[in-house]
Amino acid sequence: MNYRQYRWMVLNLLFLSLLILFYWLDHPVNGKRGSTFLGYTYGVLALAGILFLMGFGLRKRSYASSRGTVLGWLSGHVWIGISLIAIVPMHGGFNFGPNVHTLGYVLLVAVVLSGVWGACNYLYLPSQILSNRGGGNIRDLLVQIQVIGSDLESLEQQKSDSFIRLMNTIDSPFKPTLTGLIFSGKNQGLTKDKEVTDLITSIPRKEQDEAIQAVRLVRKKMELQNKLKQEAGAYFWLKIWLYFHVPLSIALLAVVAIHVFSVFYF
Amino acid sequence: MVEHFDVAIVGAGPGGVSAGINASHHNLSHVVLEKGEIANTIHEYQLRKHVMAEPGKLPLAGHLSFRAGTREQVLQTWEQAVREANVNVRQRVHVSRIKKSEGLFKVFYGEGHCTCQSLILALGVGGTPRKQGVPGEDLPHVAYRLADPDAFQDRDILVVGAGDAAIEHALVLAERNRVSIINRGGGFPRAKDANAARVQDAIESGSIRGYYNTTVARIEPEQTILNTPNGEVTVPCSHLIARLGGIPPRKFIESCGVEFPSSKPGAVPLVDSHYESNVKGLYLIGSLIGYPLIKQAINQGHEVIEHILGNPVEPADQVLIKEKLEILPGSVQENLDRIRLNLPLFRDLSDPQFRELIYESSLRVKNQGQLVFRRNDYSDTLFNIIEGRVLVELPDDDLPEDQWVEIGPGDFFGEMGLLSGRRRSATVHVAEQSLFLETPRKQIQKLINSVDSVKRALDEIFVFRALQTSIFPGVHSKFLKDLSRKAALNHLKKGDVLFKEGDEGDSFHVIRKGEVRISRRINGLNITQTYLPAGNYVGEMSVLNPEPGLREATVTAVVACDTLVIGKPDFLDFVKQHPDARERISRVAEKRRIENLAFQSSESSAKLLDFMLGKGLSDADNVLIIDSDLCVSCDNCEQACAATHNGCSRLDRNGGESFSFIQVPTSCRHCENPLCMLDCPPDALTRQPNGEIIIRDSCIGCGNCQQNCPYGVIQMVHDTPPQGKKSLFSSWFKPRVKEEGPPKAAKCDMCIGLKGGPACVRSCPTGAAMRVEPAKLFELAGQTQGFWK
Repeated sequence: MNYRQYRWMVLNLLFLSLLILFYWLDHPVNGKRGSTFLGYTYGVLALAGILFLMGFGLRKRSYASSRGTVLGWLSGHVWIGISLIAIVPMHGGFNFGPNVHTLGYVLLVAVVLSGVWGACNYLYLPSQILSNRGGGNIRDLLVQIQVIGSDLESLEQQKSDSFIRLMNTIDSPFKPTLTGLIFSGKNQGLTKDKEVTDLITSIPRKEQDEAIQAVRLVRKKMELQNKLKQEAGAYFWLKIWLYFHVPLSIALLAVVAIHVFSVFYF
Repeated sequence: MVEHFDVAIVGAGPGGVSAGINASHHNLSHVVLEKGEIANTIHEYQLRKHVMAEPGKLPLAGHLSFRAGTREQVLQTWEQAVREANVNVRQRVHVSRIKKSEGLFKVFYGEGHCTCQSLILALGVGGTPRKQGVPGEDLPHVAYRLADPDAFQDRDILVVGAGDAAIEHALVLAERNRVSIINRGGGFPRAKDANAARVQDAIESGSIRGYYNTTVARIEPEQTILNTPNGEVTVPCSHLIARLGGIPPRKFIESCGVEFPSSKPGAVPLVDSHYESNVKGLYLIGSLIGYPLIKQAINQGHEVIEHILGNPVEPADQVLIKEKLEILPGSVQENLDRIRLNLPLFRDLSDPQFRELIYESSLRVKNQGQLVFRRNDYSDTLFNIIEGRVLVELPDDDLPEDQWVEIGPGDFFGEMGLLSGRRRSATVHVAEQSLFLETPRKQIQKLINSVDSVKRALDEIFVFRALQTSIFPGVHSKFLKDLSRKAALNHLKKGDVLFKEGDEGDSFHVIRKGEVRISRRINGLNITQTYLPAGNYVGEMSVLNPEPGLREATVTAVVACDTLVIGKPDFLDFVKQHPDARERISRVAEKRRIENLAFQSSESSAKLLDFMLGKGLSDADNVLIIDSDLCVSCDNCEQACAATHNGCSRLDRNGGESFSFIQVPTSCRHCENPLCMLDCPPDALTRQPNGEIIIRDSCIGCGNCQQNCPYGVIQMVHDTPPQGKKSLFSSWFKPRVKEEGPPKAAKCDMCIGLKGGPACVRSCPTGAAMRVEPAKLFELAGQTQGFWK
């Protein structure tokens, strides 16, 4: 099997064009709606599509399975999911209203959008992961930052007020919080700054060497913090979307079940 | 009054004890003389070490029972057997000299001597431990072995020596003590690579102190004085363990009049089918004659007494031989004789060696038109033709079928794959119904090391066939044989340069083993162009013409290599007589030259090549790599591996090294030259016909493969019973796995038996994980897979 040929994408687009063509040509007596022949057909197709999409979760966990590769399944999962956005409204003849049927479509769109978001993350974030390119992992980085932090602390011991003032200006204690790591921008680093230079010159001579060392350490620490942000951010965004995608898809399945049951029961 | 015995036995190892018990059983007057304890080698094992009973299929003869178990269990059984059979054992006596006169042996030991009618030497090859010859070496805190590393804690320990034993002791002791290792030289060349690397790491990290170019000057009760390059140094020392190897017993055996077939260290004295040497009445058994296993020694000890008494006795391995030969009509002895007569390669084997060869090999009958093996198959056995004929199809598409090489009874084939460790170099067809003896590589290697004529025959034919298959197919064998006799064998260490760009070319090389890197200077930088594995040749361009030619590239050994060198005059002489061969070789040379210029590697791809060579990927047959541009770190690959292998993942996704976007996780590469297979006592590591290396259930858990693997991909794990049906909550109620017996080796088996291939690759959602042959790595650089495609 070869996924390099965009097989699933091409198949899906072809199939979708056919469905759109049929939908366009179809002129039922009572208007376009779910209960026409075409409506039922599209409904069955959509349900099959949704079941296939859910099947990916099972295939991904059947590690010894020889039914295709997970790569192939994911490729199908992505493109069939996207196609469903168009197939489902055609199934209902674009009739929307405040009911469980439309709720199902809203959930479907939410699931697909969260999936597209995830797919984009999968496309762009792997190259950000430093630990896969020979860099340190999150734990290594945290340890290194901690070591520098304690080095800085010991430098501060029994120093003059001006030394402490310098430290307070350039360094802030590191607290790895969620917002601090994921949602704050990268640190600009300690750039050439007249103020810092002035502060160092104001420090007693005998402490100046150590002050310069402290500035170097702070710069190193900021560099590591940026790496940590990049690494943690990549991991965060690579995982977080699934916490929307999966529960939403389970909710979707429930609503679809209600939808099918109610349509046939009433 | 000098004591006289019917039989004297030197050495109370398994062979000697077994012989002693049988002698006592037959009421022969006897004595067993032992320099140390009963089963001294096992006695010196670490406490509770597991003693193996290999080969499993070999039955045990005689009165001495033996089962695999701990050192203590085995020793207790044997000591009890010796007591119960009233064996006359004299321990801690050193036999210094043996003299034969008037049909009697005079055995000198300690202060006295005795005489005997028959003498059995069963002293093993361990020899006596070499001592240092310095003052204080007999002090109580000086030892030549380490029985129980757990007995030491928080002490200052000196380990003297640079071999595997010294290194292993130092490493295990360093866990809880302050350990220094005293090395007479500057490195650890004698040790296994893995051990050398481990001790060097330990020295660098400071957990072991290393003294190089240093010897012990003298030993005092609490301290030791060392001779270092910077003068004498006094170090605290509560224990000193010297592991300086043993003094091999060869000199002693030769002094008894026994002849060795060659001067090589691996040579063993020849004995007849009754274990009698060229000295009448002097018998040799056990590892002295090449049988290092306990069961073999026990059987031989039993048999040798029967032979001395003149009783007919069927060797214990007879059942195995019977089993092997049962497909042939006629008696076992007739068939053995027939095979021996038809196979000149094994002419010089002693009787026991030949029997072992037969039961370790398999007989194969094949009909006309069948294939024995195909080119590029991975098997590495040697085939001897007992009867019949085969046709060797050389790897040249232009060559008509009538130029295939025919070989017949008494010839052998398959040595190219066996010696180079690479895939089969040609396809072999059966020309008429044939009977083959197929022998595993390990057995042949044992013979290469011990029997000179086997090594010589294999070497000569290798050169000849290397020339025939790779360069001169179609040239008559006679001329090629002449040329191959002129070829010299050249050994290269890792990193050695075969020749340099710009040198004058004076020779032509066929790579017999290993692989070389071809590099050229471009803009002042040395840029790797490609690498060539065994079976290829280099240096042809500058020796093709009579005028002096300069080398156009530098050739460096990537790993230890053997090349066959043919000098320019011999080469020119040969191509003058064979214009066809000349034309062929210049065609190849021209192609190479054009390729070099047109597809000169860029600096970045050369860097990738260097990374691959550096990480040993060129030796890999099939390697798992991860494209970091696609990997989302979901670890589905590891989970898939664990789920399909009893819950224990054999790959560590983030454990390996990476270069640019290529990450090489810690996972088996199924090397072309697998170091893991080198030292596997039960031969549990085997290569499958498709190239994969797997560990069979016969693994005894010795851990040799784990230590020998340079890539750290083998783990020792306990067998876990296959898990039942998986449910969401199964992990809550999973029964605690009881760990029994020693852990066994586990590594990637390429999901053998799983339809569709390795689970890791099939479970990767983004196509980042790939199993590739290294040659394909470059192609991959341009065209990765992706789930969106």
